[in-house]
Amino acid sequence: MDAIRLAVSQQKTGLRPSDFDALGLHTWLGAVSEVDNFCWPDSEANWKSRNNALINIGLHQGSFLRSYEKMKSTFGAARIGVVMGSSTSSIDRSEEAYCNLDSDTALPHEYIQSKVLNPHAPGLYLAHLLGSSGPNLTINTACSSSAKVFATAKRWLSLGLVDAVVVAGADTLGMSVFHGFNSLQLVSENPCRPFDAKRDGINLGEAAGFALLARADDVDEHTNIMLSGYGESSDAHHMSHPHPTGQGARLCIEQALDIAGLQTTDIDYINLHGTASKANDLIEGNLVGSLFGKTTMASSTKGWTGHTLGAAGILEAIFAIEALQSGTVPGTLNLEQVDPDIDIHMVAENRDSDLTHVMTNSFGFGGNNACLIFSKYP
Amino acid sequence: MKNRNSSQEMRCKILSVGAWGSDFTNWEELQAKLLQKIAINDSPVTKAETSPAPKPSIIPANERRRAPLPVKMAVEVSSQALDASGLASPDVACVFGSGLGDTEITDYMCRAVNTESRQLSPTKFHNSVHNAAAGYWTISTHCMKSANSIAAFHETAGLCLMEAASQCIAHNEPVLITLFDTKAHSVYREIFDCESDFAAAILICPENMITETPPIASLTLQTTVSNIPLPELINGELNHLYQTNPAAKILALLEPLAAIKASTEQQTSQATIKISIAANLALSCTINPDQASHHQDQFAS
Repeated sequence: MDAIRLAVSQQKTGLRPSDFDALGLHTWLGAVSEVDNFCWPDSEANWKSRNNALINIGLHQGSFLRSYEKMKSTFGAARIGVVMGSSTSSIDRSEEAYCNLDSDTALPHEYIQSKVLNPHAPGLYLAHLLGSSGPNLTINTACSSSAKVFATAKRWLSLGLVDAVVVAGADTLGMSVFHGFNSLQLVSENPCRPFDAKRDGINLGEAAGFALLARADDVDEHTNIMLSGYGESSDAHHMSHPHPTGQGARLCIEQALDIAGLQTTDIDYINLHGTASKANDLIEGNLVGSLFGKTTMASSTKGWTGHTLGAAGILEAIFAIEALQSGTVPGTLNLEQVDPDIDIHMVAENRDSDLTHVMTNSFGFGGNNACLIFSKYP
Repeated sequence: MKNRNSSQEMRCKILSVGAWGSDFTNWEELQAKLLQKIAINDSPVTKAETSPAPKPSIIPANERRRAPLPVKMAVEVSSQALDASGLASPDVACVFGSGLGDTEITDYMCRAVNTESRQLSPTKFHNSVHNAAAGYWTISTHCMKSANSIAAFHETAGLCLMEAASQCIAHNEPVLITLFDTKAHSVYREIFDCESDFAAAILICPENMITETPPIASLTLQTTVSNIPLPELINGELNHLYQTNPAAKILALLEPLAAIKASTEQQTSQATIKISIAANLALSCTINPDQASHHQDQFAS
């Protein structure tokens, strides 16, 4: 969190130019270099993957584990849910295994990892690290994955299925992600420029994020932030193109406002999905502009992080929560001139403001949409 | 420690079921198989028949050609359950679940990125997302409700059921649960012993919802700490599928459900499905013949 705060305050991007020889692509990346140096102890080698290394590093940041241990001793390990969101899971490890396939058909010995080469890998590994034995699943809805984890957690808590939930998101850079997005002609050779007239595509990034949720009346200490609303919807339009009028996105925003009992005018700041792709920003920008008018501030933080896919939901929830707590609305890095075809109140530079309710949008392949609203606890 | 060992109950109704596997193509066929008492030792060792891949007509022809097998299976069973429920797809949220995902596409992508050109097909790339089935379903049926896509390895069936029931109750709306896993690609066969294809869909609705089609049963779910080993199926022929295909873990619930319609005795039955790999946490399912539909049946006869 300290690094995010510093990067926001200094308007310093985490994106770097790619190594063309390694990647086969000219682009900019939000890579986490600590992952390259992560050492797996022998006893844990069966969990080895880049995505799991990122989860391990992320989980040990700040005071998260201390808060979790306190909840575990209060409620017991079986009463804490673990809801992970991911798109790539540990496909990085499969890609690596295929460099070394035995006679083209068999996984080499060190890749015989059933708990890593399946789509629930990040959820399993997180539960393993936490020593949690409660309900544990991974939501794999592409780029809305780790926004939807909050919706699931809120339902489980309100129905009394569990007493606390660790929600998380983790996605890692890998070859299939780069070359997949490149095949759709969505990757920019330059630093991404969300909502700018000259934007020309996305940068990819990797991230892991974590949050601990409980019913407010069950805990003595908390952040003073509550998850007041969530919305989930489908575009019913196309696997990889957004709905042309943003109808699906509108439905999830309306559901989130409805659950929170708020009006559009109550929302002080929106952390947009804002990938810097031509289509997303045009459609999302005009939808948000038409729904929220000029009174709500909006920005995209993908200029700091790149598009972290299945981790973007929770990462941007954290940006929104940090804005709520610090009173600093992050700007939109690399935004010089808002696209004249987009009618929206964008914040380009950081701005200080007293915020009460903030929103974040996440949209994924398959037309899968999610929207979250966080509020100061009254 | 605050003493909350078990969760509150979740109650809903089961409206309809869809099913497709290597030797059954709908719920009625699977139902008949589930009711056959075959001891495991007696089960034939001959290779099971393989049904031709389903061709769900609900997917537009252009898209259907590009849809991979797991998507076709998932959409087929979803379509069966929706048709039998009498509900309209725009009113039904959905929770899709697959324990292994599409290992054929995983194999394709991992091979392609290890070639010199590293080129991927854009269609295969967008089909590679775990929520491809949910995407094809919502696109084909114009459903703009929430669509989930869940992986929980061998516990996928239990967690999808729990997640879907919690959505059904929290939002007071019907929810389609679709579980599907295809046989693992040969490269993954050493770690996943899933050798046959299976898909099933269950459409649930809130307890108080009035539906034109009478519900099959009412369902009460509760998380429970249980040391009871998972049951074996009455039909030993299905046990291997049940044990190795993550989606097929739902057979533990479908077996008593199959018995309900066949039986004239209206009795309560129980099923248990695991929801945590680390502990004995399970979802206990209590299945009751639906009172309203039972009365309707009596009235009709």
